[in-house]
Amino acid sequence: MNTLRSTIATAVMACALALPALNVSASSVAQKSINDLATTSDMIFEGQVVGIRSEAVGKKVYTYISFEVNDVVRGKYAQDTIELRYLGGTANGATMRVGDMKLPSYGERGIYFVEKLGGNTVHPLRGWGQGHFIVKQGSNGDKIYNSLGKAITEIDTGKQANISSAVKINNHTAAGVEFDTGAKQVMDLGSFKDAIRGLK
Amino acid sequence: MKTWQTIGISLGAAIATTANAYEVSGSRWENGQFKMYVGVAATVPSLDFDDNPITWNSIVQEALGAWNNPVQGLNIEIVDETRDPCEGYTGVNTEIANSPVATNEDAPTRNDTAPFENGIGLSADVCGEVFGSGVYAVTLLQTRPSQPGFYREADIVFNQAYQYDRHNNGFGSGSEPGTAGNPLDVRRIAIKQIGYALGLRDESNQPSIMHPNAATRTITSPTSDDLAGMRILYPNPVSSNDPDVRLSIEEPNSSQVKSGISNIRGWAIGLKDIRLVEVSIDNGSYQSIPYGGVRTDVASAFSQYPKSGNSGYSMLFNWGLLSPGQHQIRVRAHDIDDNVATITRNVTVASFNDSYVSAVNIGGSSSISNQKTVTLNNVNADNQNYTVKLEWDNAAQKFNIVSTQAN
Repeated sequence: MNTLRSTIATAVMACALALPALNVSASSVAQKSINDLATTSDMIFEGQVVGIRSEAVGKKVYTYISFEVNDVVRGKYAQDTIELRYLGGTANGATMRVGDMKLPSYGERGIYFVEKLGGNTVHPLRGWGQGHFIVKQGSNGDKIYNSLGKAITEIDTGKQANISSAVKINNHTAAGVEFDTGAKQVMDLGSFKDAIRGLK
Repeated sequence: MKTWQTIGISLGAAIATTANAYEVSGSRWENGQFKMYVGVAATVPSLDFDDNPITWNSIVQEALGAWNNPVQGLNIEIVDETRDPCEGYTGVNTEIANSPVATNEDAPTRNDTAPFENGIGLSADVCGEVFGSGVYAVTLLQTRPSQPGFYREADIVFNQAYQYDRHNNGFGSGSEPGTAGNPLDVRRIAIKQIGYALGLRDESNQPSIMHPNAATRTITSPTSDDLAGMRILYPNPVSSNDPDVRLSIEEPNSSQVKSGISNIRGWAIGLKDIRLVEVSIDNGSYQSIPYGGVRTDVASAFSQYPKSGNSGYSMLFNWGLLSPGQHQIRVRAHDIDDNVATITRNVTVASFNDSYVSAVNIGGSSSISNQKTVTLNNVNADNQNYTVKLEWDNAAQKFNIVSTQAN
């Protein structure tokens, strides 16, 4: 084993041998700007997951996630509930996964950017994980996190995905969404919604 | 004479660790057997380095080889035939998606007897579903109904709305990615999608092909982190030449002269769990060494050994506790069945009379010999004068004390 390099590092990060339903995202998806996400989504709402069901059609499995709609942030939607359809899930004993897609969990509160109402997209949210934000109650009100649980600290409305620079793929956070893993200055829900409403 | 029994006041433990970030989905292919039909009836126009057309078959085979070649426990069978990745996925639910909650939750389920074969292709949609904005490729995975830890089918669908090529550039330079002027590097996307198909997931803490932004960087093939994850999924096969317990001492090595405070460290792996690693000096009693440090390098080399990724041992030791001259270190590792591996190493120690020197005064002259050794005369350490030699150690990238001669 003389060829083995014994690098000593201070970081300690165990490999994650996680179960299937945990922290996941998408396939190869272009990173969008938050402006793009906000202005091209059919509808953006604040809601809470109140039901999950899955259904098999041939080899396909669909998962339908029902939300109670608490606030329509952008777009027009007059109903109190909405059901988003994700490709993938478990039904009749069969499990189908789509790449590394993350589905909202039961009881989750969040802000959801719906790509197309009535559409049959693989993922119902614009930019996949980029259009999925989670709301958590903090000590002084509701705070906003991205779909992987990273704290959002700011919406930089001036920062757009610029195609003349390196464009990213499959990012869980849209360009212009700033986050802080230290979670020191987590953006509150109201400010986040105001920022999304103000994007043009 | 100082003795080994003083190890009881050695300075404590330090586990060697290496950062690792790969993530696995929880499912894999049984026995590492993965069969992929690579026949894709499309040609990727070559737009950059040469004028030779690139075929999808060659790109997919290159991407499969990027995983298959370095991972001994993976056996990818490449079949140059075409299989529709959407075979059996053609059913479409009649419910209206993304709409108010449906009242009829008992939509009919269609039986399907399509074979479970792994295909790849280009399409305008994902087996009847819309890709969505900015989606370049999607991997569809099926697990066994009664054994969700194993996959039974993986299919990859590329979005034919985009232009692809094979190149080493970033994605963005002047025009929108995926257009003729700025085609996407299909190789990187294929490697990543195959990574999903084999059981990896995105990770965002280490440079890797599975990193969300990998395609924009210079990474064009699986990194050591990616391969470490793949070897966890598909360990090397155990051979008759693999001993029950393997052990290595990396520090001290026999060419070094030890002085001051430094590590005794290495790694130990077993086909069964290692229960104890311990050290003895000069045939004294054994003392256990903290064990379990992260060692992705060991896991990569010996993935046939379970838990090889957490096989590091390490402890800090004050070599000043030993007298100057030759000493013998013996490290041994036991597995839970008491299979034992032992390594003995002779070590030269340079030390002062006191195991811990608190006051030093270099008052004498110095000289340089053989261009890497410095001799310090009349070094006073805790009221004792010494001639001390310092020598450059390339491995440690520092000067070490290699001799202490009391005057």
